[in-house]
Amino acid sequence: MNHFQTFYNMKTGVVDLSARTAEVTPLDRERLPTCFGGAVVNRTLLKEYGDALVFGTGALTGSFAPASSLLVATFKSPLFDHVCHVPFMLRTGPDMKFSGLDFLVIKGAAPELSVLYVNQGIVNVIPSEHLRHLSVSDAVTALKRESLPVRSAILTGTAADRKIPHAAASVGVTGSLDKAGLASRMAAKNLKGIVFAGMGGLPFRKDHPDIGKALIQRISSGKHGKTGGFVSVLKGLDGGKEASKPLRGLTIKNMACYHCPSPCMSYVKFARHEPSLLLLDHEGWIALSRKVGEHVFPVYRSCLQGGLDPAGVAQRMPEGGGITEWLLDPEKMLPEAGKDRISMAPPEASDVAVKHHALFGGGIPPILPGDLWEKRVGLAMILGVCPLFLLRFPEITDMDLLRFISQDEVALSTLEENLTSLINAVAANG
Amino acid sequence: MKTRNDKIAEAKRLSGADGCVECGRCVAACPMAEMYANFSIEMSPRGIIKKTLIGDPVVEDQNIWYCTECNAGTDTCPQGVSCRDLIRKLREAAVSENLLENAKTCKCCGRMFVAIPVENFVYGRLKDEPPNVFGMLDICPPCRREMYLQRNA
Amino acid sequence: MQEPVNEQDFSLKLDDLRPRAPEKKTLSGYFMPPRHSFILFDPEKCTGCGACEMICSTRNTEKVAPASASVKVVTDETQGKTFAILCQHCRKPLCLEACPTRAIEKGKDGIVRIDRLFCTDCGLCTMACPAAAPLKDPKTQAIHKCDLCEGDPLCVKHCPENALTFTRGKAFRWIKGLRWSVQLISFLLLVMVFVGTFCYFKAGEVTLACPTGTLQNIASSGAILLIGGITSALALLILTILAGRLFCGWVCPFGFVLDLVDKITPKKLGWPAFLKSRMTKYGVLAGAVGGSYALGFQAFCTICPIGTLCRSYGVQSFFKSAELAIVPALASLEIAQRRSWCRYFCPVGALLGLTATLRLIKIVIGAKKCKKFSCIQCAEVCPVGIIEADQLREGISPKIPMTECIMCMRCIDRCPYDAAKIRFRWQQAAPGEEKT
Repeated sequence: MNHFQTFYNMKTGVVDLSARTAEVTPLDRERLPTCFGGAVVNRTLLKEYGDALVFGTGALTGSFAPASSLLVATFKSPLFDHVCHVPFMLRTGPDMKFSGLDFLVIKGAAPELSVLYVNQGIVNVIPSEHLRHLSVSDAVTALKRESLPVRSAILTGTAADRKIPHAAASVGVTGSLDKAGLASRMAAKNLKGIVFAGMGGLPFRKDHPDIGKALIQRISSGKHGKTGGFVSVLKGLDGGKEASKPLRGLTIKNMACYHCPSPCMSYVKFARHEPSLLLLDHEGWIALSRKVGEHVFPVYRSCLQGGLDPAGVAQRMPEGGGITEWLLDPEKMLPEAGKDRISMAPPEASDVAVKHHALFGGGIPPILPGDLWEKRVGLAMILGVCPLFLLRFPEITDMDLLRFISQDEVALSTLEENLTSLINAVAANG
Repeated sequence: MKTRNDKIAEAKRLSGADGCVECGRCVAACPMAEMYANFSIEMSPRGIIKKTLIGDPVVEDQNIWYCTECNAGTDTCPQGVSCRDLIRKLREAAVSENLLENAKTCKCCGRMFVAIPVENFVYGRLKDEPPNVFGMLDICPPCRREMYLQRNA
Repeated sequence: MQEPVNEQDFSLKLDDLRPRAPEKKTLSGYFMPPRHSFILFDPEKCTGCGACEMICSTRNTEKVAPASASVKVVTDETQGKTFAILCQHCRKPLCLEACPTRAIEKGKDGIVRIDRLFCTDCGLCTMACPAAAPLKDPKTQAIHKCDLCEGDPLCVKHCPENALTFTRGKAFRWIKGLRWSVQLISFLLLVMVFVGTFCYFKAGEVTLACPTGTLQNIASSGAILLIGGITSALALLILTILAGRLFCGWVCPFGFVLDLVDKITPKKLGWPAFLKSRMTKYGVLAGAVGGSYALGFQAFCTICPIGTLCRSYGVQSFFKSAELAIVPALASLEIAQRRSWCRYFCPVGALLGLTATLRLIKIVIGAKKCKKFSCIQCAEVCPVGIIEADQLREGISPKIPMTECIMCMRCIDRCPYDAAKIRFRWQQAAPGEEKT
């Protein structure tokens, strides 16, 4: 019995930017019980289509599983020189499913700057030369002015247009955990952004809301309780306490992604007249505040505006000063020999840990140690649940999540076996 | 550049207007009968479809601006003719020719969001309310939600 | 070519088919207005996770489709705010007025429902709603509006932060019961037990006197008595400095009479505009004092309705029958407007109002907590009409003039959203605005 059918639209979009065509192929439902979805299927699609960007959702994305917000971007990273799986949260994963697709393959390069618009299972390639050299927020404003319904957008900023290697894709104006250079790959394909209308829906099993609610209640009453917000997660990381000092008293509101019960992002406001910032990149914040100290706010904001990875910027930033000059002219970030690889793993980590960290985009903070981290992140990337959530709440087991797919004990044990081997495979070589 | 005739042809094609058998079910379902004292065949969905099909001037006709775009007519039409799609396309054609007197723009975002006869109906129904309720009617629903957010959060 | 047929000639109008039922006024509804349950949203707790949209959409469609929910979470990224917009089930729903097919009705349980049989999904309800709460489904184009899940809302159950609560508001309107009791007791004491006590009360060394009467006494006799004079008037003045015109709302026996008359005259005729000046009572006060000086006796005290009431019972009253006519005569002003006497004419109230400029406390209505257009019960229930409903509808916290407020606290009692509260005069922030 194939339980997976209800979790997906059963559609893969394949876009050829050079030919400006988009077609939709059905998902192979026979293979789903053994490959589940997420990073595993992304990898298969990447092998099949070669030089492409693959975006994919997991089986549980969009469902009543807690924190079911994940969209996985699988591509060959120009910075790490191997295939990476980068997580995107907020509403991107559910909105792709609600726009009618489960997986999206983008190959070729468009003749002019384009935007992909996904709605009701159809991908439109929209020429958008007027968006060139627009900052992320200006691009968002320009998109809002079109009369198209938009729920989520993954965009690049001016850094990508200028071919700066640490360019990072941003979800709306809020940035992302992309430290692997997705934006550079998008810019090389002349792709300014991918926009999801998100107007549709997904079927669900009748008991899903209650299962989800029970899991959420378990977390609230558990030892991790209801601590939440950017600063609280930050303090649990290496160097986080120092980095959280400039944020003292500035948090306006904690924000959570799709169906997530424990927020790890926060809106902060550091001056009355300035607009608020949504902080979600813990690693990036730590790296940046270590480097630039009290100037962390304007530099972080300019990273968001330009679509840049703050951790990469921190590596490139000149020591002791020169920040204002840098802010005015980020061209100084052009690649230098030997400085392209970045590593955000903690200092005592082994080479293997560093490798796995980079395998998943370099942005997921090391909340758990060593191989436990790989297992939890691998689980998240396959089932389509937020990796930070699974790292912060180890009491949510893979069996808890599998119960969304099937309640039958026999089927569950098979599913668990398959899942474990998949996680090992993903952790081993991506 | 599309000519007016091209636009009307596209409107007919999109709405399936050629399939109209003049049964009048759309008129029976149409809420305009309850809204306008001067409701007549001129503004009814059947009337507008007929006018379009026989080639009478319809883009500059005032009567295409009474419709609320509810789609009730489309739902009951046995031939699947979409009166709403037809009226939408005719209105788009009118707007592209700058015939804008009947389109109300939002005070906040400037988008055209409602036809003025429809809005006057709502004004009429709310005439016993204080003036600041009316001020709210000049703003499109998405902007109104933003305003509600600002006042309450 | 046939004559164009006027569709109107043959069709039945909605008024023929579905006549709108007249509003039934029940006795219990008059004395104890119904308190319906509602969904209260706390924006401070909301994290924008969208679980409410998810679960709500499962009721509207067979799927999880947040775009098809009856609730919409809007975010302001520049200010870091989120809000869940959903139907407030207004007491006077504007959508109900605007619906051309009369598909919207407010049920006995207070829930505003759309009858799907009559709804044509025209969207005029959204156009009329100040919050644009009815939402159009992007796929089916149907209008989805919150119906409180018929009394058991799903969003309340599934919000992980408990930002949505289903409540009837405050558990018990205790202020009302307390106030009526205090009014009754003070009426009995001042009128029936201790004769003439409000005007002048002596028990051994302690004397208490009406401050306006004291002023008139000073003016007429020219002698300023410290003991038994000003100090006795001080008791009431000190009470006013501490708690505003609490006397007017809770103790004054004539006020009690006015409140009773008010209960039996629900329909108000209204005053012509030129008579409606709050300054008139200060003029009456000045006239009373000036008259006392000129005439040599306490001019106003002879016709004062409060004094008349206090002296009316018992063997000692003079001109009992003729004087008593003052009370009903002035009480009949109530037909024009609630507490007209207190608003426009009472010199005791005027003097207390002047004293209230030194008040310690004030009543504030926090516009952020207030549900504005969907409620406005405070403005309707205020007997002296000093709450600006228009300002509330705009989202502005109205400035309540404490010189006019009789501290009956009906607004505080009635507000289900905890928006009307007592604050010290130096506290700047209204309820709901404390953090900014």
